[in-house]
Amino acid sequence: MIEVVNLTKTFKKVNAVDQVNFYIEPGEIVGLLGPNGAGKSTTIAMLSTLVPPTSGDVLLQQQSVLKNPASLRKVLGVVPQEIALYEELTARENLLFFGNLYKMQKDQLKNRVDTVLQQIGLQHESKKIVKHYSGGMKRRLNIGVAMLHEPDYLIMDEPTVGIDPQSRNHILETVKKLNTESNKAIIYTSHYMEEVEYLCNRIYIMDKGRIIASGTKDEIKAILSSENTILVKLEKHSNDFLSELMSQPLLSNINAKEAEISFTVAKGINYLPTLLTLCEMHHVTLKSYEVKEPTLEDIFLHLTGRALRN
Amino acid sequence: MINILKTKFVLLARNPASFIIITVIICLFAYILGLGQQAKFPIAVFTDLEDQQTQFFMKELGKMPNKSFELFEEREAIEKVRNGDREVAIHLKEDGFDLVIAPDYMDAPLLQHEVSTIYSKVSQKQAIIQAYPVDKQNEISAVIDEAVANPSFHINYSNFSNDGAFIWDAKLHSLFGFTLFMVIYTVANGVNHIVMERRSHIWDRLIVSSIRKSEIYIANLVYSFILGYIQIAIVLAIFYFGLGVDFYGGFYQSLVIVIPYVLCIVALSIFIASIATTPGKFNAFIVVLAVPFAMLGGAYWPLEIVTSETILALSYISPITYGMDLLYGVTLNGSSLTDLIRPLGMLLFMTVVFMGIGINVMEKKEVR
Repeated sequence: MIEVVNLTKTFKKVNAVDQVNFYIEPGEIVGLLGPNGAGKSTTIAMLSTLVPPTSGDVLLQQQSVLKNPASLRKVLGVVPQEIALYEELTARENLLFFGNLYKMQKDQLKNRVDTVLQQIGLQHESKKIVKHYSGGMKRRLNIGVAMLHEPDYLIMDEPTVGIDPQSRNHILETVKKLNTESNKAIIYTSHYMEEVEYLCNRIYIMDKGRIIASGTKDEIKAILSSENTILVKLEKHSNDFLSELMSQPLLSNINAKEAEISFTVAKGINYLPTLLTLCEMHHVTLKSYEVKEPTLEDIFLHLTGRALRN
Repeated sequence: MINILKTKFVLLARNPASFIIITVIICLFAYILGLGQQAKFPIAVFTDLEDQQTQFFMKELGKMPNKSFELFEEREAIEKVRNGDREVAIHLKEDGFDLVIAPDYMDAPLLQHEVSTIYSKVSQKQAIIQAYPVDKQNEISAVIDEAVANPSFHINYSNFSNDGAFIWDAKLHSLFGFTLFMVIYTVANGVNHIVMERRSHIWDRLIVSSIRKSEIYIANLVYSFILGYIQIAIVLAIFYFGLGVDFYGGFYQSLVIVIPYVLCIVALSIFIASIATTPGKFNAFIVVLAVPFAMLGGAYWPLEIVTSETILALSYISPITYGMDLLYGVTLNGSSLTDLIRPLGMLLFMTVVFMGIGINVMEKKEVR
């Protein structure tokens, strides 16, 4: 098990990461969810022993690894957010180069490279120079490099940023397979809540350097168990109607995107009749009224008052 | 470490353009500014002497290495210097000679010394002859000529520093100057890999692997050093073996003595890499530094012709100054190792300081 205890990183008197605690056990996928600038990447950098924390500790099997990170580095694979590859080399050459850094035997390395190429679906493109790859292929190779030395734990820092939906699905499936078939423990950071929701057993939500909520998906969603999220669609946007909703004491977390408005209301209250009255008052046509299950997006909005992808 | 080094050379082989272009530029500039100009302009000579004496002087002048002479009328010779067609003209007279020189002609002290030597030989002969009665002067003259032609023993001596004159070889100067200047860009290209790898987070991948950080640094430094050193060796070899440039017997020594200079440039590049956060900024810093270093270090013109005390004082901060000293030392000046301790010491001192500060700053930045 890897544990992070009171991890703090201060840059010029600003706490980028503030007293963060979490753990990951073998075989589980843990999500670290938060908007850009929440401190996820700094947390990951400290966890992977690239950046020393200002205070706090990182433990592997109860032993601190900050002074002697070699033991952690052996069992840890890191997939950085950036494409950390030599673009002038082929996929195979990249894998051989990075595999060599782990001092693997020649035959063992060759076998691993073939296996990894298969796992990431690039076995037929392995002799192509990386700069000619699509964004999705580069992302897959980026993940493949971190898997070469067969680590027990994989840290993936926003591995689907900037790629097309097809490649994104491929990567999500690869991550899922790594977990189910190879029993890899994965720390998956993202600001796409649907990815975290799809992949992760447990979730930590970060904002402004702190963990503001944590638990299994159900536990986190229970934060909003006393409220319902309502999504209404109007025929057209109306400022007067929106102002009227804002002044309603029973509603909270009101969020408007043109003619779509979402808000939360306490469970057990049927707000539809009131809403119809308000529509009539402001001459607004209601097109739809939907009571939604709370999403992680709603939880984040509830906890911070801001949308996740601001 | 070997694996990193090997990969760097594979990357170079996949994209060798900048290395080849810089090598070609060095060769072109050194040739145009050194060999080309020398071959183009013989020194103009005009004379007040009798034909026989003029022939004698032209013959003696022709013995000077790497220089050629052409006889003109006085008006024509002066006009050529004025128009820039010739850098210098020699006026041969009964009682001495005058040099008519263009402002940027840098060989004047050496030329003056050589022509004076020829005049002293003639005056010496005249003095001996005039010590004899007129009827014996022809006989004495013949004896002297024969003695000069068949000396009892040979004395070879060279003295390059009489009367404050400095040694100057335009070919070597252009070659050394441009090589030392342009190799900064090649070495910097090598060190720029560190900046690029840090930027693209390949560096992070190296750090979290089983390899030691010191090995990563050493591999990068060795690569940059080899890149710069190979370029210098190629350029010097082209000029020595291909174009027959005279290294005054110091070709192989120059291949050795240039090592501390390349080390210093690697260290300087590491220092710049520690300040620059992006490859673009790194390149900009290198350009901004390399050109003044070349000017101050005497890569374009010899420092001996610089009169500004400020520029001379600033020349001490340029590694090129010491690189030129070392290369001149083992070739034209024929200096011993003891004579070269100062430039060697300065380069090693700079290497230690730049490397020490550079790596420390880089490490501190990594901690962020």
